[in-house]
Amino acid sequence: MNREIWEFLSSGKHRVITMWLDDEQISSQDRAKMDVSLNRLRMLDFALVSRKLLAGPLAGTKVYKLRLRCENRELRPLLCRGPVGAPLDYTLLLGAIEVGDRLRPHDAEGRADLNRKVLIANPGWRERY
Amino acid sequence: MNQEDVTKQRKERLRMDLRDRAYREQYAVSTLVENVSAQVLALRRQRGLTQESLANRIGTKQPRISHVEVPPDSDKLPNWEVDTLNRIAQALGTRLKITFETYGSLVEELDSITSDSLRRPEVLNDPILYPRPPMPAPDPNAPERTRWMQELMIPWLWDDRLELGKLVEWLQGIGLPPVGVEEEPYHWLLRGVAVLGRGRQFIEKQFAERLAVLLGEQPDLHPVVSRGADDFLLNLYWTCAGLRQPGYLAEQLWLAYKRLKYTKPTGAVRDSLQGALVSNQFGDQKPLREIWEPMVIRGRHRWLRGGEIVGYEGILVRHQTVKSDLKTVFWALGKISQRWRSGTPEHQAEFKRLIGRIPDLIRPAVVNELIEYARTEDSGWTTWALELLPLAVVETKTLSDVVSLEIRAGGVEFSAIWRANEPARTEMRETAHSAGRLVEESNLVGLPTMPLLANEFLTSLGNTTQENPRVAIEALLAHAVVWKFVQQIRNQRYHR
Repeated sequence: MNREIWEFLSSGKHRVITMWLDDEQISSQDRAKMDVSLNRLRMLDFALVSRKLLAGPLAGTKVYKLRLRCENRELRPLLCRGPVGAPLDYTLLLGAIEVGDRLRPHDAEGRADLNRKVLIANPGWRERY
Repeated sequence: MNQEDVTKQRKERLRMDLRDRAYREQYAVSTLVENVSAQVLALRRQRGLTQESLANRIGTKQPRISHVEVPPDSDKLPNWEVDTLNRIAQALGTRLKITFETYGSLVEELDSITSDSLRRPEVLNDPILYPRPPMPAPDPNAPERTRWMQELMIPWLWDDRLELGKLVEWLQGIGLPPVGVEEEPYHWLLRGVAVLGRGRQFIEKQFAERLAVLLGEQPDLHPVVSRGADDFLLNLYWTCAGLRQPGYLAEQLWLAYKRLKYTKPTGAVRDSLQGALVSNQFGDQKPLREIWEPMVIRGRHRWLRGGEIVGYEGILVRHQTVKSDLKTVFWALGKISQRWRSGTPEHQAEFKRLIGRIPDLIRPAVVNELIEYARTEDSGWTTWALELLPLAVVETKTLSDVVSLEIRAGGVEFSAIWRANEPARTEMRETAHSAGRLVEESNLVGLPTMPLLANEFLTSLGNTTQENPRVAIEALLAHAVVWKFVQQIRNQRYHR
């Protein structure tokens, strides 16, 4: 029951997570953690990973946050299941960092949810992560 | 791009990333932690164990298991002790293996760790150590279409892979015999696992594990079918209700229940989830009145093995640890009794057995509380007790001017005689003593007073039945009968 990890393309061209990794200068160590976590999401059934790795759905949305405690900050890539194609797949919607129980950017949940809706309207706006 | 190319590309990317020392060291640590924690969880699920029961097996507390399954998130390895991991491995019927590997092997392992690959058979099912028993055969006496269903399901469950595609199809009614009355997909699925012999337990566990995996995908939140999501859920939950495998299903059903505020299901889906929860509950879970109350109010359960009693038994079992909430149990029993007015003797015997499961029944305080409840107008208890009259009443006579009642229970005989225009007379004697003992003589002509009579009777019974819940039940029955009887007499007198 493998599934794919997709990445939302902002405006249909820009990989949101790849850009975020660059913008935030995520270290290779932190990227390794994220890769392992995403690999688990891809290979294991939801019950085996969800409680530990995923928090959500965030209030009023169908968005989850991937929990990654890294060297000196908490990475919280936001993602959802589906929402187009295979229902068991995941799509990374937005990169975020949690500081003191708040996500940065401050409206990250709303923006991620918006990206999800945009993706539903434009199913082609995603690439394999 | 086909799947092979995607995998190749992914491996190539990892191969390049692993050349960076910081990346590879963190990747290896995270992979190890993820693998161990996921495998413990996968094996525990495969065995149908809760964290608590696994902890009991290795003589530790539940948080220690949780610490392994959900380790604190950090860059370093959690402080798991090898000894603890080894004991967990043994408790799960497996061995712990620690090896040193090259970083390059991570590339090969990239797509090899799956939910299936983490599972291991228990020692007795280890095909190297013991020959695998033959696959169970369909029940030869079952109706033809049931046998056909078993022929479909047994090989699927006998195969150890967690292949859920067929299950998803069957739950939609695809590939099943025609759907009609009593022929919803869940009926067929439950018939499909009802094989004969020792293989049944194995088949049911395999089925429960697959249902747990499917429930874990949160189909209530993220539909896994494109059409008929409600029907799909309904069949999924009723299948869980009929299967009754709490070790496998309770946790995921409970999580689904907690998600109700997000999912807002229809009434039918909610009912089915509640049914599944009640029949897959553990006695030590917190009671959820909102789960079982609708079941009691609405009456008959649509599908629970053994009929509705299973659900009610669940209610009673659920309350075993909640002594302060007995009134709700009595309330439920009253409702059951109203519905069982025309029950068969087998039903009545079963109901008596259920009452025997009331927590601490032999405690006088509990008995008193029950009696107090039984006296309320709408309790339904007296109606029920009358149905059980043959169990307790030896003799009743109602002549024009004499009413008498004799009851024998718990080694005590009780007799009451009311004559017109004479004081009521109640006698009670223990069978060991030939002479009766007057326990009550009312000053009011023809009107026995209940509390004194009943309390005396019950106290005497209680003294002889402290250690025997079954007899205590007899006493309760007898009490309810007396109470009803006295009420009737009083009404007759008043209305004359």
